[in-house]
Amino acid sequence: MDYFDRPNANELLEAVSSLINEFNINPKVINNFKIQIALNILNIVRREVAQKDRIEEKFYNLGSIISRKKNFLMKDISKLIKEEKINYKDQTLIDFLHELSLEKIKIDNPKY
Amino acid sequence: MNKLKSFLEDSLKINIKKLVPLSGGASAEINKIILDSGIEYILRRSAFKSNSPLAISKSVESNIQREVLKLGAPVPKIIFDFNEKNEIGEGYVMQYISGETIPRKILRDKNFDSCRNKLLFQIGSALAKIHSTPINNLTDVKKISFHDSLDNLYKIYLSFDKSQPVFDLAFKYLKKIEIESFDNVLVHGDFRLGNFIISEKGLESIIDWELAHIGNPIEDLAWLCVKSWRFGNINQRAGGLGSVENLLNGYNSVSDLVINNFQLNLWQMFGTLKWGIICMVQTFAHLSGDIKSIEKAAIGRRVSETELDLMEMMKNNTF
Repeated sequence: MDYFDRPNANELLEAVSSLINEFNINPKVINNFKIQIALNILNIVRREVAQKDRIEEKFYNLGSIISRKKNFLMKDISKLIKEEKINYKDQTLIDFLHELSLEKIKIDNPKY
Repeated sequence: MNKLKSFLEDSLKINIKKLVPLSGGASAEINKIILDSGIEYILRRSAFKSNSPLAISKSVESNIQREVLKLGAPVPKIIFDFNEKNEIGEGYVMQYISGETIPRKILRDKNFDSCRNKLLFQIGSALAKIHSTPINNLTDVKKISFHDSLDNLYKIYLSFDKSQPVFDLAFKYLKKIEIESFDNVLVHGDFRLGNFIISEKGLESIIDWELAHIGNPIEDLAWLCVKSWRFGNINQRAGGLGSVENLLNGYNSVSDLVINNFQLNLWQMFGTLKWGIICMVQTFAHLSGDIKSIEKAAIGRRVSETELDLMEMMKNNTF
């Protein structure tokens, strides 16, 4: 399932791992700001790992109805919107995307 | 750096004590120039690797600042500009203005308590002055309509091949609405805290003109209202500083333009979508390997902030 944005969890971990490698070569290039960002990234990944299955389960049924597919991807929903096969004022779609946005923000930035 | 320093010393005809790199924008490398005499300037030149598909050239930026300054709007004076056909590239040197640009400090530090309540009025009136710049002197500044901007953003969004259904919905919504047209004005394009130099006395200067264009005046007013530019003070719609009414009081002390709240809402929605796409631009520059940076990796996960804001607008009419 592709609910979450890029960079995905692997790509985020790669970015932190590059920073640590950089630190090993030249510790002076790493400042507190970069360390804080790395910590924020690790917390995003931690929350995503903990919540991913619950979120996938929560949105499976409604997402399947909207996308008209059992194992849907977000690109299926995007395509239907782009091609106007779902109206942009469709309340079910709006409710689905609003609720999903609330779940995503709890992963990416719960203080927002 | 030595070649750049020699070039600047030759151009300014004075010795430079130190060149201090400052954090740059998406399309600019910025240095503080400290002269032997203690006088300071700012150097802005095109970034070696620009990742801003929306940015204008440095020569256009400096020309705009010259024109805006003529009207008494607070912008740094241009000392000289250059366009060298070598690694020095294109850029300009401008007056250094002392003050704070970090939004959270301006919004929270005690030093700014006394000026904070008058800032929105000053910001509004400065913006109205900017918008009154005669555009016939700015022939090299691109005119960009709402629908041109929307189409351009859509193309950028599609280029990432990453589906964001909330963005698709917002594009559809905005494509179908009618934007009120006004006389075209000079639009700053990134008018928000972070690009204002603030001292304890108030607004000192407006900087970072790389997204300037000719267009609709409401774009700048609404961009300031985008939730990400409230820096945590989400109930203070105008830049985290206060109400839209305060901002418009300042604006209308110079301009008689009547701002319709519905149109402001639409432009705020557009601004939120634009910021979401800019986050994608930044993060895909990292993912493609063009500019490896942990900051750019992290910003990709701020797309969800703009998605939530857009959905609050479309579902609950909350701005």
